[in-house]
Amino acid sequence: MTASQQAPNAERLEDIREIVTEVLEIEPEELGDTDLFIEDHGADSLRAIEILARLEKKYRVEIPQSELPKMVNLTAVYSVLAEHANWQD
Amino acid sequence: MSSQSCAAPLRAVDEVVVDPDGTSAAARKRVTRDDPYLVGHYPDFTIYPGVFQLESVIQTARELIGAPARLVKIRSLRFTAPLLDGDELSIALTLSEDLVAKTLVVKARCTRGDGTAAASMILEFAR
Amino acid sequence: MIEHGDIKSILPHRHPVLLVDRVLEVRAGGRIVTVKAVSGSEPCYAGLPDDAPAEAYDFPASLLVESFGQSGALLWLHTMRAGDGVPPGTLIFAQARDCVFEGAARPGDVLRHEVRIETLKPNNVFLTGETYVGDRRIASMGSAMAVIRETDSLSPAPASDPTAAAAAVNSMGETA
Repeated sequence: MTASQQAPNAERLEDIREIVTEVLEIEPEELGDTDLFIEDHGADSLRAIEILARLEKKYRVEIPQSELPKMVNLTAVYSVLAEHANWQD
Repeated sequence: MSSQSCAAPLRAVDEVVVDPDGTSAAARKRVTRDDPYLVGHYPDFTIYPGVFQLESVIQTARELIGAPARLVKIRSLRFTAPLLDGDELSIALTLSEDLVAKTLVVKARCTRGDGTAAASMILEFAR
Repeated sequence: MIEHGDIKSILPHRHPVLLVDRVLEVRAGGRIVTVKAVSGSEPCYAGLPDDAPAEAYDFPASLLVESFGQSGALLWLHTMRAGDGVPPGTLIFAQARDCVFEGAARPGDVLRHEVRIETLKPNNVFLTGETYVGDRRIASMGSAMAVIRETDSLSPAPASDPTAAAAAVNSMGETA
């Protein structure tokens, strides 16, 4: 993985958690950082597409659909986003 | 011609069973190309429009809430399988109250005859 | 401006479920403005008894959403044609969130939809927008998503537009 290996910015992580849990229709507390969206929270491809679109809209970045398979949990989503948004945490 | 209490594109439920405590209901609808709007959707091939599953849920909800019940919000609405001519649609619906928004919340799941999930939605109606 | 007859060469929907009368303006990748006149002679009003109250004539929300969705489909098709071309398959309305219905339309009203693209990918599009009657906003669609599914070989395509054809029957199941 080429993205930064540094610990995620806590506030950003919580913002992303809020977006993801809104799409998954669960409470933010219910989503562990490494919980798998599909296996642990019953997400399907439509949810994945929606998560990507919402993140693009909020952070004004473009994330190619090809990144979707990597975005399996909150930590991975942060990583992909950091890479495309050029976050220097 | 059967009379209806409010404008509707079609009779979107064939049968509704309301729970005695009035907080849930189950309904059925058989998709038929003979319904007025379906002749145009599409001319060569009948597909029950996703929005008609919404209509089925609204008509089921009216059995619980009362005929003039007005939809004020679609919180979420997902379509996951198409319904074709001859398919059976089953609707399972629960009713609760949002005391903050002062609305009635309807949660519904629609299932196709073969057991495939067809739609799920959370709607709000004016009290 | 795109007149009703030309809309029929773009969308496969036909009377009485073609719910866009005219496109007032459209910009690829941007927004579309469409109108649909609500008439007392539409099928949705056919079954009302003579003593039905005024509220009974509210244009059904399901048809309003469909009219909005068809406007979005026109915007998407216009955008794809202006770009890399329309991908094979059918545009299918997959989900919507936060759609608020603030008022209603009645016979004699003209719905005006303003639909905008939020994000566009090769196989999905997110739309947002509002519906007005005159200056009065009667609905706002927070977010609607449509996906492109491969057209199934079982379903014959309407002659008007081979790409906007009858849906992908089997491939829809994978989203469940």
